Amino acid sequence: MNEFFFHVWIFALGMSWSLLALPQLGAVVCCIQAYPVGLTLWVLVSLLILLTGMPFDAPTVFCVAAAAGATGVGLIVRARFRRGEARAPIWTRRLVAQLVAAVALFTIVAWVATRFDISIWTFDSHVIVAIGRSIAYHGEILPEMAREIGSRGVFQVLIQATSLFLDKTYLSANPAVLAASFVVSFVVLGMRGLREAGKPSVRGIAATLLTVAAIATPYFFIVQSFYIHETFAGAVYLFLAATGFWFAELECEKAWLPFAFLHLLAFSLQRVDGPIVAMILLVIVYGPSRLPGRSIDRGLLIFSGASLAWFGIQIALQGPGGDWVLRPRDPNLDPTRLGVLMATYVLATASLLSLHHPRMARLRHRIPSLVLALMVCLLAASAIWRPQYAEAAVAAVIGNTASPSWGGVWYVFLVLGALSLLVPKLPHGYILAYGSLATLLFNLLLSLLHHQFSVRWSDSGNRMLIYLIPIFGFYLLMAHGRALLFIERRRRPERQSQRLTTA
Amino acid sequence: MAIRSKLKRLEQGTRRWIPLALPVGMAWLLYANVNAFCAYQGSSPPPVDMYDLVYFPLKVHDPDPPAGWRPLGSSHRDYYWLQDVLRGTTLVMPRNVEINLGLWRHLALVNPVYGTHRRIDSALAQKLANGANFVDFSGTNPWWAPGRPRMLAGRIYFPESFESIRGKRAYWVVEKSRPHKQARRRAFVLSETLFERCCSSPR
Repeated sequence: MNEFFFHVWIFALGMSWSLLALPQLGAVVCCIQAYPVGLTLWVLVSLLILLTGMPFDAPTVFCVAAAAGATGVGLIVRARFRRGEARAPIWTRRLVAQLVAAVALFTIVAWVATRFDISIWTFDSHVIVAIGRSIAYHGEILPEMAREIGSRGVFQVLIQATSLFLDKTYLSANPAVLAASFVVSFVVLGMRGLREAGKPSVRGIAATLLTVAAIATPYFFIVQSFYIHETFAGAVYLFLAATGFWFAELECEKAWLPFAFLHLLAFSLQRVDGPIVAMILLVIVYGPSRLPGRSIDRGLLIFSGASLAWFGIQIALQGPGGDWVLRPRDPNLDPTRLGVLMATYVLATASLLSLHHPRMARLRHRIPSLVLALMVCLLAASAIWRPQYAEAAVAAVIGNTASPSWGGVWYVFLVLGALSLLVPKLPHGYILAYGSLATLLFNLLLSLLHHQFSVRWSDSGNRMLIYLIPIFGFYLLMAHGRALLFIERRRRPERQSQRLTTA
Repeated sequence: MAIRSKLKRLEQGTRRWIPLALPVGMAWLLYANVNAFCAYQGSSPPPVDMYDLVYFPLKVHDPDPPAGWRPLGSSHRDYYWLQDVLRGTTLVMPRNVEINLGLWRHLALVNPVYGTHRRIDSALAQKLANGANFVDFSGTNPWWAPGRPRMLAGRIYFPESFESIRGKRAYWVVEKSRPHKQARRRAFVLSETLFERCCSSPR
């Protein structure tokens, strides 16, 4: 099997599960989720095989993944029976047209991406490929590799592990296909968010296309779209998670939640800083949420449980001491830090669940602001504690953001972000706006604590800035776009009439 | 009151125009991005901060190589080309010169096996420390397995003197010091002549 068929296989795998939400979200949304969901399922299947001691080879992994896909299809059929739709026609002309178009588009993108290998590499890319191929070669996660995973994240590593199964030196097209998937997702979700009376308007489509063209074309964004690394994939998954939560709140539709939580889990597996950013976003989302408690609680518990299990497994795999292979220093997530992270997760989950208490009702709506305030306080305290670090970090962030490689995206974000305070408030906009701000603050906090950021393109902090672009770009599109199309103004009388009817 | 109502009207008037900031801002951003892309891709040398992006695929920022030099550095594919050439050959490494293990790490890391680069690194360090000049990877490499692609199996030599390849040190000093980015880029230009001298056919 060559790489092209592998990506098609991943798309099919994702589709087998994402179509579970077909009745609620529609075929187009299910299709855009397919590839990211498929990648996550592939990684989870790989992890399951590695950790259960099953042989980690091509037949086993592909068979288990096929079984996972068959389970998804089985659940779709079962859901139809449950809803009493067993005899209803499945393949309507519209649905078939949408699915065929999605499959055709994906096939073309995957073929082009695998045909022309223009992936970008740095030392980190070599490390990711090396760890992945080593895991595939040995069929287990040796302690040396576990320590490297403590500094790199496991997601891209396990994707690259597949290259050994495909008899390829590495998988080159994964970032490019994911980038294309992101662009299509942004367009589809943007058009959905700017729908007027249930239908996309021409102005909404134009605003969405212009925004995605603008935010996806900074030079450094293009570079990262071909870069074998975790950061861009992290940005895509964070975007999909945040927009999933936002749409769930906006449409009061809990079918978005499984996608959002799955993408959040995928994001937290990308990089070592992922679990912290994911939990911050989750706290911001959970506090003022108006979704049914059971559905979001279930997602929270599954996400926290899976994360805690992974932290515990990492501690067990790393073991005491050992030989540092790729980097002459301890991993970013050593057993002590993993223990602290586990305690933080337990505390955060318990605190979030306790918010259901009636006495906490007032506090719930203030949580996003409180989270930001807490992060600002931490940042201020760190700056006072280490003023020279703060100076260097601020200089690095300013120097990096002012670089022409970002194409002026930060200036536009600053101006439009300030102006968004003057347009009608975006419903549940805190998820996108506060989520982005919290990510930026966390980025700064990391630099204050580690003093590792500097002014160069390959700086970790500079690369992490890409987390902000999709989410904040989407926030600006929604805030200004909805004001441009007078969506909020039209919805207000609707709400008033609804209230009157209710009364 | 009049001033207040005027201000209110002004504010309302302004607010009406604010949503237009999105298309205007995004159009400007698109324009700036296109300009930046053209600047990075078109100018030589490339602007400021990205000039150490040696792996960038759209345009290789290396200067025109001298005659007989093969430019390396556009992407990892060059590494594989180099690896293909290196496989099964005997490499000669100079002693008592700055040797950047990073390059070897790069070369070896693309191998499927985690331990290979470590073996090379430790072997290099050990041999250099002990004064020995030979390490054999062929046959004894425990990571070698038939059917596994991209293995580096060969010999690495450490000659007593560096005279034979004097003047070509840039290749070996690759990435020794990160701030010297020009040196780092030059390091990816590999001399065919140097290569012929360094690599002989398998014994």
